[in-house]
Amino acid sequence: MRDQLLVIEDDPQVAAAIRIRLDAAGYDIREARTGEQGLAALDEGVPSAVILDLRMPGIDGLEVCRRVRAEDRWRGLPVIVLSANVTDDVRKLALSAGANEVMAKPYEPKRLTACIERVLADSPKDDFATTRSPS
Amino acid sequence: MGSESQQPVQVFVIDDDDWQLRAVSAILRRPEIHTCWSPHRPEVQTFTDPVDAVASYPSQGRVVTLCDLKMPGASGVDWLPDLLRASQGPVIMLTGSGDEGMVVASFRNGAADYVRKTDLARDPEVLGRAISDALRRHRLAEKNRELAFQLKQSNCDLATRNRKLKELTDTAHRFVDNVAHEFRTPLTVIQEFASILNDGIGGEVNDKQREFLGHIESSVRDLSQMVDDFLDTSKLRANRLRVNRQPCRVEDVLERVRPKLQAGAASRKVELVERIGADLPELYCDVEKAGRALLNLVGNAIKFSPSGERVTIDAGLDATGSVAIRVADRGPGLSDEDIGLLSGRFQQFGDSRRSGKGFGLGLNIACDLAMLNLGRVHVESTLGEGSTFTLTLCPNDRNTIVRRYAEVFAKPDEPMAVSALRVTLPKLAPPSLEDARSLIAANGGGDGIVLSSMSSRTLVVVCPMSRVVEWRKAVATSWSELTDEPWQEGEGASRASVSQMGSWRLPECVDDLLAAITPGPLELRASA
Repeated sequence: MRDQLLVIEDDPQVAAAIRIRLDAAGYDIREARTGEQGLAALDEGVPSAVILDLRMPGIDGLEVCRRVRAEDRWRGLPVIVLSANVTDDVRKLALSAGANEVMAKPYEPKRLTACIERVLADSPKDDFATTRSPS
Repeated sequence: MGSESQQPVQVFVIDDDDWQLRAVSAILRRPEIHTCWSPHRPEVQTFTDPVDAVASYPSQGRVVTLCDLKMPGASGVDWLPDLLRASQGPVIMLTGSGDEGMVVASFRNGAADYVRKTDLARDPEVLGRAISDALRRHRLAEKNRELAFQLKQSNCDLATRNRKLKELTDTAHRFVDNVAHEFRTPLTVIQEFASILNDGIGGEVNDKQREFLGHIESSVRDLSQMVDDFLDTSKLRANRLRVNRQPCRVEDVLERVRPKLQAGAASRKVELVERIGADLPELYCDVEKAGRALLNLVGNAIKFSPSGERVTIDAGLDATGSVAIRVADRGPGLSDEDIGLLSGRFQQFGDSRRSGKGFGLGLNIACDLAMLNLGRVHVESTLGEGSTFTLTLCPNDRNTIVRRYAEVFAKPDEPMAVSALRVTLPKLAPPSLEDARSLIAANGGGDGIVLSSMSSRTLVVVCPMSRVVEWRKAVATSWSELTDEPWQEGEGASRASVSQMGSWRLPECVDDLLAAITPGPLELRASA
């Protein structure tokens, strides 16, 4: 069974690059272009993990992260923040908003896939077993 | 005497006694009475009722008012506020005998002086002196008010200018942040797609194509490194580069940058060899910033290495007992002239002139980052044989930290006044002292150092004298972050406190500073 990842990223080309890379790495990818779409996508079905951009029009990544953490049903959902603006302060903010990992763009592909494997291994999979879509 | 004092002065005399009015007027017309305050005979107007005087003051010109203290109905004291407001000049009270109580009251209401009528007959000149003094004081007071107003105005202007400058720098910082963000997004796309192609995800790639894609990847890596450097440089110039120096190991620094170094070396087909000496002492630095300094040095070495060559990273002790990370390449090397130029530049911290031609932003920022970490960079090279750039990091040792701090942040021709603060944290507090130390260092900024003390629950902060207030705030903030309690300073063993230990000029008084902040034998025994 392939794990499903939700990529919330406003830049279509970055989103395409991530999709192609992670698809090749063996994941099913769903995409959302805005924070609002991302939250709606979570409502429809909970993925194994979320890859989340920070700077987006409308609800930004930090707010998405906070809302995810505020919901009991998404409590254990791993969130990887992937931002082109990672400073010490941003990292601190993202982690305190509930992100599991923070990665900077441009990213080394191997580090991104290693990061995903790490958060999936740490996440309590049973919480999502019922909602995870099979492939 | 200024030209103002040459202007004609009018005198208003108010007295309910007509005879008194005439007597005073006569005195005022005598040249020996008025020459010291009015070259021309003053224009004198007399009033038996203050109401008429108030109505008669001219809109321009200076008027001195002489007003009887005791009048039927309202007294001179009661009239003072109206007279002062209408005349905009000094008011002198004419008093009889036994009026002392009212004289005091009239001074309280703004009277300039008083003249006893009984003295007038004996010594008429007392009136001239009183008017002259009152006029002089009045002019001085006016001048003072004018200066105070101008000062207030300049303060306002300065505040406005400061606000505008701050807005401007904030905009500039936001702009730099945005530019970095906007650059990194397309860089991500280029790098990832080149990498996707190179990994064969888009179909089979032949060796030639793989080599070409490697060029794209490595150039993108260089470019994103430049964006990072650009951002660091602009933050460094604006004093906004946060630095969090804390005890760490050389492995921590290397670990942080190893994946990037290896990726860079692989795409240029350069072999990267790492040698880390055993039992190296603990360092005192910001792992991320030191890592970025190293990234630049190694990146440079890789860039100038021919394909198939080797770059070695060798971490060991130098002659002074510091940890030195030597990055050696077998590239083209540097001429003596270039070495001289580089070495000169490497000795100045944050010097914008240094970002000059030829050596790129990378080496400059590497050097600045090293210095921010109380370390240094130096270069040895032989033309045609290769270069060795050495990053020396500061050992976690009180004396070395303080001496390096003095060397980096103060120059003999540009001394810096620093203060030392003793931060006492309660004995039974939950945070460990090391947590508090690194948090205070991070919150305080790069321009100060936080040292642990031999005695328990005490830290020493050394920072520029001009930044003591901010560092005190950093202590309070860190305390709240660690304990979830508001910072409350107070006396007694259980209360946290910050006390100033003194101030010193660096670099010349570094020994005195060290002596002052090094715990004495008594303190050592107490903590043992």
